[in-house]
Amino acid sequence: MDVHGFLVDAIRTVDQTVIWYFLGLNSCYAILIALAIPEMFKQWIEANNEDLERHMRSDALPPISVLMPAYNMEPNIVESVRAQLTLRYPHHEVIVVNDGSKDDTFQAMMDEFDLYEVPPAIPRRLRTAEVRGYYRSRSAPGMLVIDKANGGKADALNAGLCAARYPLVVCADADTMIAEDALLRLARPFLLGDPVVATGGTIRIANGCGIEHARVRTPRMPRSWLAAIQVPEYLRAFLFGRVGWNRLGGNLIVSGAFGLFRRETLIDIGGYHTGSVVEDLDLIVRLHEHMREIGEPYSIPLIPDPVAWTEAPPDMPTLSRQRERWHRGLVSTMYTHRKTFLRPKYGPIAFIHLPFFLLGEMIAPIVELIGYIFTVIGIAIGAISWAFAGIFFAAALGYGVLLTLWAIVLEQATFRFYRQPGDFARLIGYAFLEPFGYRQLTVLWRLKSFKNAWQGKESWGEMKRYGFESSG
Amino acid sequence: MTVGFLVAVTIFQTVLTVLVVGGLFLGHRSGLRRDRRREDELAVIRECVRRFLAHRLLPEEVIAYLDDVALSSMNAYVHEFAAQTSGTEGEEVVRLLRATRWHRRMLLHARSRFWWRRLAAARALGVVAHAADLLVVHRLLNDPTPATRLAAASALERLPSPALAAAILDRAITGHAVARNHLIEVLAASRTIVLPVLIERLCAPSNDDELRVLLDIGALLGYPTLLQYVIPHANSDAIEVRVATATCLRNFPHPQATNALRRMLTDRSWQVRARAAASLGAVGAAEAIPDLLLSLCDPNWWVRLRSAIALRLVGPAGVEALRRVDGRIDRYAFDMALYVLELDDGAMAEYVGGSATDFATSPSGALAS
Repeated sequence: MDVHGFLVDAIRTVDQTVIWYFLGLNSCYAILIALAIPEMFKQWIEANNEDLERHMRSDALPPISVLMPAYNMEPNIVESVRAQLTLRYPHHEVIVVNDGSKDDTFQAMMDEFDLYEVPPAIPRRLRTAEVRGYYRSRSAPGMLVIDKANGGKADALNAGLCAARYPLVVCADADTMIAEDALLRLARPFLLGDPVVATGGTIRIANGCGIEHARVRTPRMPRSWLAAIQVPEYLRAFLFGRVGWNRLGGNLIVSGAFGLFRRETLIDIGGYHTGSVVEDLDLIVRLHEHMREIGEPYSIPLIPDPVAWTEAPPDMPTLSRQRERWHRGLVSTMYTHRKTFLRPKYGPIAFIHLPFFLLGEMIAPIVELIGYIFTVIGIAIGAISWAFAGIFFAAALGYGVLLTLWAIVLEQATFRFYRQPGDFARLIGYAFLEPFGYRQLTVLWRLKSFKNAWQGKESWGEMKRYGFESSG
Repeated sequence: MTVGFLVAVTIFQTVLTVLVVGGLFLGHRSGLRRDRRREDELAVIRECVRRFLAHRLLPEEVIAYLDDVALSSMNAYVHEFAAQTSGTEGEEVVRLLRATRWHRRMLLHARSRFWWRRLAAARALGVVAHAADLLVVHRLLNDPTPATRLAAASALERLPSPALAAAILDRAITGHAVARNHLIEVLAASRTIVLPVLIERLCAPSNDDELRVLLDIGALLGYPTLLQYVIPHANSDAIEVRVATATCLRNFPHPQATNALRRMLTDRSWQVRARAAASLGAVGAAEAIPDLLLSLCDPNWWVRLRSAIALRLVGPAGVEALRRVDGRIDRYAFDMALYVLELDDGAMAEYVGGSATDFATSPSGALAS
C-alpha cells in the first residue's frame, strides 16, 4: 500500500471513530433527556405555586443559613445582602464573609447595617485564614458578617460554614441574584422526606433582564450575542443534563453559585478544598464518596424551579477564562478522584458518573479537535469529499442542535421564562447558531485547560464583571 | 460507515428538528393563549363568587358557569380563595364548590392511578373537604406519593375526626424530621380534636420515638391539662425522652412544670440537666434560683453555662445571684458566672435562640455524645 492510500485509510478511520464518538455521546444525552422528561414533570407538578404560601407560614421548614463570600464587592454588596435578607423563607440567616477585600466592602456593610462586634462564640471546626472579627447588625437581626484575611472563595465558605447556626446552608455568590421564593422551593425535597445531602437550583443568565433591587423582575434574552448564545447552553446543562442525572443516582455538580447543603455533612468531609479550581465539582464528588463510605441513603438532586440569576461573561477574554477554568477543574477533579473509578463500593458514581464525565465531557474537546484536523487534511489530500465533510458535520453537530431544542421544549413545557415572542425566537435562533463558531471557540478554550492543569495552575484569572444591562 | 448512513442520520435529524421547532412555536403560541384564557376565567370566577356572596346571583347560576370552566382554572381559584377567605363566607363558597363538576372530578381523581391527579385531589380536599370525604382523605393519607400524603393531612382542619388525627399522628411518628414537624404543626392547628388522642397516646406510648413526637406536639399545644401526662416521662429510662420532656416543659409556665424541671436538674445525664436549666430560664422561674446556683457548680461545662444563662434570664434576682458567686468556693462556677454576666444582649440572644454550639440540636435531631 502506498503512503497516500495509507493516509486516506487512516483519515477515514479516524473520522469514522470521531463521528461514532459524537453519535454515541449525543445518544447518552438523549437518554438523559428521556430521563429528564418525567423528572421535570414531577418537579413541575410538585412546584405548584398553590402550596408555597401555605409552606411560607410553616415553622416546619428547616432553618437555612445563606453563606455569601464577598471579595471587592463594594458597589453592590449592600443591595446584594438586602436581597438575601428579604428572601421569602420562614427562618433564614445571612452570613456575609468579607474575604479580605481590598476595597471598602466591609465599611459599606458597617455603615448600612450598623454592625457591632460580637464575641467569637463559634466553634472553629474547619481550618481557615485568620478571622479578624464577627459582627452582627443592629438593623438586620438575621445577619452575621465575618471579617477575615483573604483565603479565596472556598476558604471564605469554610469560615461561613463554621459560623452557620442552622442545619442547612445555601452557598451563593454575592453577585448571584436568588429569586425571592428560591429557598422555599429548594427546601421542598426536605419536606417530602427525601434524604437530601445537597441540592441545587437552576442558574439562569441575568444579562438583559429587567432588574430591580438585585432581583430579576422580567426575564429577557441578553442583548449581546455572546451572552445570548450562552442561554441555550445553560438550559441544556441544567434542564436535561442535571435533571436527568436525578434518576441516575444524583448529580455530580451542584453549582457553586447557588446550592444547598447539609451543614454537618459538609463539615464531616472537611468543607471546601481551598486548593480546588472548581470547588463545587470536587465537593460533590467528595460528598458522594463520603455518603457511599458511611453507607447511608442519600440523594443529590437538582430542583429545576428554584432559580438564581447570574451575569454571563459578555466579552471573549472573560468567557474564555471562565470556560478554561471550568474545564481545568473537571480535569483536576477527574485526576484527584481517579481512585474512585470503577470501585464497586462507590456504586453508580464509579461506574456511570465519573466515566461519563471523563469520556463524555473531559476528552470531548480533544476528540472534536482531532475530527476537525483530520477532516481538513482529508479534504486537502482528497481522502474526503466536500460533500462527505458537509454530511459529516451535519450529522455530528445537528444532533447537538436537536438536543438543545429539546432543552428548550422542556423549558417551554414547564416554567416558560422567555414569554416575549422576540426573545423566544432569538432563543431558538441561538440554538442553531451555537455550533457554528462558538462551539469551536469553546473547544479551543477547553483544550487550553489541559496545559494549565498539567502545569498545576490554580488561579482563576481575572473575571471581569460589568454589572447588569438592565432593560427594566 | 457509509455516506448513505450519514445521509440517513442527517435527514432524520433534519425532519425531527423541523418538527421540534414547529412544535415549539405552536406550543409557545398556545401557551400564551392558555395563560390569557386562564386569567380571563379566573377573573370571571372571582366576579361570579363575589356576586353570589352579595346575593346577586343564585347558586345554580354560579354552578352552571363553574361547570364550564377548565379544571386548572378552578384549581387555581380554589387555592387563591383558600388563602384569602374564611369564616361564614368561606363556608358558603365551599358549599358552592362542592356542588360543582370540579368537586366530582376531584373525588374521581382521588382514586386515579396517576399520582399527579391524586395530588391535585388531596390539595383540593384540603380546602373543601367535608365529613363525607373522610374515607377518601384516609386513603390519600396512605398514598405512596409523599406530596399527596402531606397535602391530605391538611384536610384535618376541615374534618374534625379523631381517627384522622390519629392517622396523621402515626404518619408524623414514622416521618422524616421536616415532614414530621409539618404534620405536628397540622395537628397542633386542630388542638381540640388532637388533645384526647394525644392524652391517650401519652398514657401508653408504644415506643420512645413516638413519645418524643407526642411531647413535641404537647409542647406546641401547651394545654395545662397535658402537664399531668407529660411530667411522668421525666423519669423515663431513655435519655432522649427525658430531654424531650425537659424541652416540652418550657412551654408550661406552671408551678408543677417548674418543680419537675428543678428535680431534673439532678438527673444522671448532663444533657437532661442542661436542658432542664435552659427550660427554667425560658419560663423565668425565680423560685428555681437556689437550684440553678447549685447547678452552676455542675461538673459539666454545658450545664454550668445553661444554668448561668438561666439565672440571667430569670431577671434581676438571678443576675444578683450570679454576681454573688464566690470564686473561692468554686472557681469554675465563678468563671462561668463572670462569662455570662459579661455577655452582651446580642450574644445572649445567640445562646437563647439556640446556636451551633447548642449540644442538643444536631441536623439529625440526635443527641451529641
